[in-house]
Amino acid sequence: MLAPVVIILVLLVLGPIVYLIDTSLYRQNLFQVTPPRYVGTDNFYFLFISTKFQVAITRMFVFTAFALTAEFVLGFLLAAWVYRLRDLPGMAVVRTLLTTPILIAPIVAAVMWRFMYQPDFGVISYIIELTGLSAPGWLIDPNIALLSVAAIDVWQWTPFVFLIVLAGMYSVPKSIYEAAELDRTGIWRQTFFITIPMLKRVLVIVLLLRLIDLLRAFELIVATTQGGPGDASYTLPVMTWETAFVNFQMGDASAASLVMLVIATIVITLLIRAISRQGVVGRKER
Amino acid sequence: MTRHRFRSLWYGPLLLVIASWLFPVAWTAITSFKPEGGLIGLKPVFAFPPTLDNYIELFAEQGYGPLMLNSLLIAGGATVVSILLGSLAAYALARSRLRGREQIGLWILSLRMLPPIAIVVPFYLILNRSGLLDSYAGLLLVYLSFSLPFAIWMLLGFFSEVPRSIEEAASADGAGPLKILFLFIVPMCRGGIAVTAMFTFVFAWNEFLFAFLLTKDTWVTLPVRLGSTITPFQTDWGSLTAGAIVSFSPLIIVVFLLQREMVRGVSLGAVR
Repeated sequence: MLAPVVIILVLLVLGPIVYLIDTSLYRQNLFQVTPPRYVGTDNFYFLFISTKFQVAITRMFVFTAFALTAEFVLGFLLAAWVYRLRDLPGMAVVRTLLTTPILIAPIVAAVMWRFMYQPDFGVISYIIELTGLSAPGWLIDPNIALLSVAAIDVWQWTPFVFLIVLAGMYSVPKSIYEAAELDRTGIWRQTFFITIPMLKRVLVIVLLLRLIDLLRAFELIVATTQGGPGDASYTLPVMTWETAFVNFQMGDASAASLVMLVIATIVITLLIRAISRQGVVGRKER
Repeated sequence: MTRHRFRSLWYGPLLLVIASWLFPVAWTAITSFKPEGGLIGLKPVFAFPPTLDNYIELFAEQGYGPLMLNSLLIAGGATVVSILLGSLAAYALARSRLRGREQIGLWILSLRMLPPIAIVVPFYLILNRSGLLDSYAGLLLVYLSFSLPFAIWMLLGFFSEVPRSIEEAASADGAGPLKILFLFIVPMCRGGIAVTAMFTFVFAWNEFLFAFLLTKDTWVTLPVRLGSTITPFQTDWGSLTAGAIVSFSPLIIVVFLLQREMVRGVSLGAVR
């Protein structure tokens, strides 16, 4: 029963990847009649030396680093706070409400925020200007556009970090904290010497899951800035899309896709290791 | 007691955090009920006579009915096929005595995490060549590339929790593996299957990239339409915000139904 499904998956996913490796070795424009021409590793060579590619890689990592840090710090603090207040009634509702953004489609989040980011009638600028300050041009100022887009991701996925870290905190035996309280261990020391070490595995998994998602972020950027203004939010996924579906240079796009795939594979491998260390599959069996 | 009373003072700040976090959703909802023309004023207006005009326009003029049907057929189809095939694979994997079965499971999971942008180019070329661009079958196959690995991995987790003794009794009575799966395992794991199906559906319902690049007119889904109606020049924010609410509202039910399994679903089964 397993074999047919594995074969389907191999055809469905590994097939296209093999095909991708093949197309990356040809020069091919979809809208030209000339047949694909074999060029060896030229596509990679021209990709690596292009300034666009270097910009795209940099932007991708800046976007990822900013959002990952913010999501992690905010999510962890929020979880620690809600955990401290766990005895209060209504905390289950708090958790439900805070985790709602996770299920919103990224494209819908992009629509919502793009509306709020509008320079002339956007509500964020309006609120800021009420206080007498002047609001920046969120998506039109090249200096902050990338971070404005990343902030949308922070809004949507901080709840994810919060949810998982909170679940992890609940799984730490209470007796450890009670012992620490008896020893008059302060809350910061409890966090650094109990919570973080106990949650190490969960934290690593959350970090890697977010990392994969952020590196491949596409629709959020395309639906808000299309990589602009200028090249302010031009990341590798945006570059891949532009090369393939705006310029129809399939060879170059395949090379960029493969770079993306290699980066993702490295992170996925780390994640798989973190997950398998515990042995998820057969854990509850005898 | 005093400590508890002191703690309840935290409700204030907590409420503030929740309110500001949900503000984008609320603001979108508020905007979608605004009458036309009131939007592009100089200031965001908070008081206005609410109207359903934007929603009526979506369905009467912008064809949101067929769009929703497309989304439903694609996400629903991907879910049904993934659960069916996924059950077979997950059961085989959960009960196989292969030493590398966990590795196979993790390998399958890793397929779910590949960046769509990296594999959409070969998908496009293959579908283009076989004339399946903008077709139901083509899009469904592509959706299986991420739905099926997710379903297998989640179901594997649930199936592994069923004690083996149950099947040992059944197979002693002469039941074959398929019979055991559908007569014993599936009914016992119906909760887990429902959870898996709902998450599979949500991910497919929200999917943008593949639908955006692999459809044209016929099989356009809700997210694709939402993404393409943003233009740099003039955007009809009334109908766009209404569209956002229409796309999200079916999921509100899911949010409440899935609360207890949320962690497992969104962490791809990595954390329970």
